[in-house]
Amino acid sequence: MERLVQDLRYALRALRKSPLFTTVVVLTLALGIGANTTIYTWLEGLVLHPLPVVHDADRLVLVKTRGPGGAEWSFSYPDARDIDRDARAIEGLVAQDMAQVSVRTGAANEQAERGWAVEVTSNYFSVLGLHPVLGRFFRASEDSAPGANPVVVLAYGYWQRRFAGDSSIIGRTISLNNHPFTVIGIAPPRFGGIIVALNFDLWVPASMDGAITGRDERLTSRGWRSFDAFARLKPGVTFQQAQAEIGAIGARLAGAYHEDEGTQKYIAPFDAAEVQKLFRPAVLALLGITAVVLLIACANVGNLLLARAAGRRREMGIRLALGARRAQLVRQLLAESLVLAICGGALGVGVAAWGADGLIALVPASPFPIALDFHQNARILLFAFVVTLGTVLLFGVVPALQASNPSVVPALKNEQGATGARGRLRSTFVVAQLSLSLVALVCAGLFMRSLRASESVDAGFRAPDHVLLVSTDLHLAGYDPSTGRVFDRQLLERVEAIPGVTSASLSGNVPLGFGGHNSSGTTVEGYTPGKDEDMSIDNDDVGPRYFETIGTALVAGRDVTATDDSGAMRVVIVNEAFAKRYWPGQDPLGKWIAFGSGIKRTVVGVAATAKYHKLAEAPLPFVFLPLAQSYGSGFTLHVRTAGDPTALTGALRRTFASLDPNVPFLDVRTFREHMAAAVFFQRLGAIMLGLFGALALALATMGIYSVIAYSVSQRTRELGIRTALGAARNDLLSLVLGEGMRLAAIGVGIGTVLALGAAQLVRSQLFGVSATDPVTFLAIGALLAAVALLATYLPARRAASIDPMVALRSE
Amino acid sequence: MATAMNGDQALIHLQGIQKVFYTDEVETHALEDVHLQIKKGEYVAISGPSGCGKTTLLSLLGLLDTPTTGEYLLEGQPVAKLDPAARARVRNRQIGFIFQAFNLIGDLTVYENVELPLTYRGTSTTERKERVQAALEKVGMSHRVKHYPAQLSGGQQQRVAVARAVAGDPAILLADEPTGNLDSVNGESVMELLRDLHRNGSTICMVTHDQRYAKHADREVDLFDGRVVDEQAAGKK
Repeated sequence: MERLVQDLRYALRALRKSPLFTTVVVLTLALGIGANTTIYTWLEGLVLHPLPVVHDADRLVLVKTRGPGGAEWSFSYPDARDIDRDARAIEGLVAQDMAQVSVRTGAANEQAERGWAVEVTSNYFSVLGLHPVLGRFFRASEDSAPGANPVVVLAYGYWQRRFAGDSSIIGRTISLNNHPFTVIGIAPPRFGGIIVALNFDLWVPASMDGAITGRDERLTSRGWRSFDAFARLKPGVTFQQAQAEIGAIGARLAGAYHEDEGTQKYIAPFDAAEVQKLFRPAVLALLGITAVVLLIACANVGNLLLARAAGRRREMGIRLALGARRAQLVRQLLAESLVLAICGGALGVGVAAWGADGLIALVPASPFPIALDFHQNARILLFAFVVTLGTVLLFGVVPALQASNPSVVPALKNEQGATGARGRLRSTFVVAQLSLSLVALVCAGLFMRSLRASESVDAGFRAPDHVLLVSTDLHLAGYDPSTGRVFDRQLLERVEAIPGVTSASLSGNVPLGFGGHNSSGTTVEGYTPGKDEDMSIDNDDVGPRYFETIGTALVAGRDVTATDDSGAMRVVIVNEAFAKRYWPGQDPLGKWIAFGSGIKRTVVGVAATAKYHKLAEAPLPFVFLPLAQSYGSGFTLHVRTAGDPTALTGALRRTFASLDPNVPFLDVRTFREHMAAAVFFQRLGAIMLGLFGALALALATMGIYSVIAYSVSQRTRELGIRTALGAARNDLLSLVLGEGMRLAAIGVGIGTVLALGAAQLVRSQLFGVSATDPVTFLAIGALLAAVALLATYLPARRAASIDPMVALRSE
Repeated sequence: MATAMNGDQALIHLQGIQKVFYTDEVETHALEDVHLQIKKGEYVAISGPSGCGKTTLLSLLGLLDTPTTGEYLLEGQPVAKLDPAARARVRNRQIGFIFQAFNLIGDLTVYENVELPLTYRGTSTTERKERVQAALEKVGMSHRVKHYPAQLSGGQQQRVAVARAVAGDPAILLADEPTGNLDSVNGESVMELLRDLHRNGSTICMVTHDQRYAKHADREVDLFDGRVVDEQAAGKK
């Protein structure tokens, strides 16, 4: 221990005496370790341990319904209650559904504010193993009697923000959607629900569904599957045991209730949730690239250490002459590497703490309570520590072994020893840096081209940057379907009268966002589904002039009009993919389709097929229903303008207020901004990989420069002799340039092979560009060669201007 | 390793030592058939012209290098074919080096430089402190313990190097041109220091090409072209 302390003390002193070297190495390592820790923080927060405050989260499982065609369905409330009651393998099954609510706290002249609520079964908090910081959570009795238990639990953050942490809040009444609710408890800090990346404000019993959504039939209908379900396995119960029991109960339900016929119930690991499935491949790809960046950083530091070792040959010779064993010297040199790595690691953790929150800046505008709140924890610090120790092995060991083995006698006399092996090692480090840089840059290039390809895809919407979107929910302001329809009509009339507005419409959902669409079992005239064919077809409720406003062409029939109201014939518009799929070679106009209720709806128009969920999707059958015939309180106003649509934000806000100041005016964004969600992962990949690729390139440039500059300094005498013997400036220039470009050529060659392998790993994340895209490979190879040429040119120019008299005197 | 020796037994015994350096296709015979004995308490000077093999011989004696052929006994033990770790151990415990260029480590204080061989030996902190203090007092440098080499004159640096060499109480001191980088006053002072050490029982083997200093030794060994060409009591040449 004493020796270790002494080694560390010497190391600190030696490093203090080389501030430039120490600073460069620590910063290089900080960037490498910081990049890895940042991405690991994302992986930890989004995929591995997204529920930091939930007790024993490993025993949580998702419970799902599989439809007859194999599609994944949500849960009905009665099914959830039955499984919770009957299953013995689980501590409880929770049903939950998110909802927007208008919140009033009771303050004078208060404007309603949107809050994000979760309707839950009463066992929600107990299944999660949480305890309130104030008050209590729900009681089992609060599940019974729909509408009888208007109680609410507030999120800690919401309580702090909206009520300034007032502890007298317990027992007070607040208004949710104009219904009084009593605050009964405050959830623990850092808990915002269990949907990864979303942060909710409050929880209410699902039994209050009528007050929250105005449709409390959800509590009794087994066909209305709109809840998500999760459960906690009892201690000692295996996943398979729970699977068997839940499956058996599901089979019993399928036999007992016609709504459940053909369905299966099953459990899935908690990390199989959609958000985790979306993030996992992207974050893992980024972690792979940051590992490459760290390797490059280590190669760079290894090179610097070798250069430093060359300057310490004499010191090593003295120590060996005094009886130091090689192992003792290696230990001392590793102590220096350890000090450098620990400093780099500590700074890297700081970089990660700052960088991890950068992800939120990349998330596009959306009407969801997206919150990416990353916290440092022991696992992240352990990761950073392990990476830090790993870097010592990567960059410290080989230079330490080299430096501790000088030819003692020449070293003592400060004579030039044999430098062949060390020179080869430095060249190897540079080749490794260049190769790995090429891998990082090729991946970055592929993602950038993928992003460009995605952005240039014709999504089926004309000029989306001329469409402004504003979301609202009339239920928050107390509207019912009949008053809501009046509001919708008046809103469109007034908006279309605003100067600059070309057209305006409404829709329940907006394509290509984070939100998705409704999906309903559908009967199609003249079409007999195959065995187990999934007839759930995506649909949306849209207002008059919808297709004109959103910019989708109609290939037959007409748009939705104001006359398609609740009193008129039920109509729909289908897209071309629908028509081709179900009525190939037939005229779809005049045919009918029906959803669950059985009401036949006549096709009056056929719209061009657009992209609805993601840009890379195959043509997807889609059905549009007039909003006035299928009322939904929540909608998004679409406004097409001739000029910049954001210039009309004020006018639109005033229009909303003029109709009813209580109707919320939410989530203003252009359609182009909204569509950014569709390319979020490509954009994330392109930005992050571009950043890391640039870092890799900078490190590799520094590496090749330092090696060639060092080589020139070691060959000063040789270059002087060559000059004395008549070598011209260009001869020396090409001699040194040749050395650098030879390394670059080897690096690009090896890197190309590695990049071909790496590109295969990220192939599934690419869109519109091949994993072997020759343009990317050639451009990156040329870029790297050009940078290597520049980095080599500077020392080459110095070599070419060496004074032969000075050079010949040097040793 | 056995260290018990009687007065007549050689501390160092070299038998038929040959050292050949191979570089590419060239063989350089630095030492040829060298026989040499140094007794405990003896002060031997090795002299000869540049390139005669003095420093190579000293490197072999100090186990910094290994002979190509021949036998080397140190305190009766064969050391020519030891592995690197064992050689390091012998260097650390039985040999003290004094170099022409002092070879102090610039980043360490005077105290730490003298302490260094003891730390490699694993000596306890208390014993190290005592030995370092005693060694520095012996060379008259105990008032400069916190100084760095760059803050000392050449003569002072060489005194510190001598203190470092004697701190571990080695069997033999090997000095390679110890006055080569010093002016005549400082050179004489260092030579006086070596004489003092010898008077107090130290065995010294010094390489020098300066006849003034060679005469201080008990015996002078002349090398020429890698061979011992003359060997007689100092002052009789």
